[in-house]
Amino acid sequence: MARLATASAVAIILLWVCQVNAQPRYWMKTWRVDAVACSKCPKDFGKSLIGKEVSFSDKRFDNPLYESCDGDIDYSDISETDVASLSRKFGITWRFPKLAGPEVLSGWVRCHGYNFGGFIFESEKQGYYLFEDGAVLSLR
Amino acid sequence: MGTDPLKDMQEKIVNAANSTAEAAKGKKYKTGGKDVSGFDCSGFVWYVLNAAFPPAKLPYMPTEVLFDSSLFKKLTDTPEKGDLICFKKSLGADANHVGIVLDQQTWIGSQSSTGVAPVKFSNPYWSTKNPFFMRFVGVLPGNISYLQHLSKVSANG
Repeated sequence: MARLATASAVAIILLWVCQVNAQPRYWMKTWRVDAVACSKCPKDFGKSLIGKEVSFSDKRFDNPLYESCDGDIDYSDISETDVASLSRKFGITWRFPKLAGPEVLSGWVRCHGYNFGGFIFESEKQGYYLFEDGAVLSLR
Repeated sequence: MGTDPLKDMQEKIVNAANSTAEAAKGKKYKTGGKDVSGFDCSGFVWYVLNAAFPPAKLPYMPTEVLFDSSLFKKLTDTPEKGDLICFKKSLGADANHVGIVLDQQTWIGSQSSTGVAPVKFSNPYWSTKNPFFMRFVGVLPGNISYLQHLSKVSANG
């Protein structure tokens, strides 16, 4: 009986690990800011941000717009998210872009457990960075 | 703890900021939030100061009130740990903001894009915002505003 319980527990853990690993990782690359949407920001707000690059890799998160992380980086929050539940996940600061599917990949990049930035990935060609002042930065 | 009331106070604030941040990290920013399930900027500072000085029963102050409160003194010299870093709403900033200085490199607050998180003074976004600094002087000996506040608290039970 104990063996059966152990085997079941191992199977459940393996299934969970497989599921976690099954999350697409196409977003683990360098993205470039190509547009800024912000209704409250001053006119030239986006100019200094456009062209900047944000990089996701296993060991580093490079973000020249805000804070980078070179230790204890955690991407595990980035997962399939129902588009309708984005404000529950990130809060009401942003006016979210119109997204194609009912689900997207989204989540917080964490460093030592602290949120370092909220991201939405619609496809391997289109992402969004939820920035300060309610600005949504389009990533390509 | 030493005998310098200012240093003791700063130490208490930083310790409370770190322990509050530990409890709130990973949570999203929450407008009006005043507990570890989600803070806004002034909610975080208010919570930390009350955690550092539980008997003080500081009233909640939104940033515009805090910036003018006599419980805080505007600094003209270099900030030290435990001081508040303050940002006034301006052309390049959507709202007032406040956080707590942790050391010479870092401050911590609840930012709208992260929730509670440490921020380097060199942060490209915040470093362009012309911060000013304030020191909580409420619990320092002889602060008349604080004594008046305490008498109101005790009168109201």
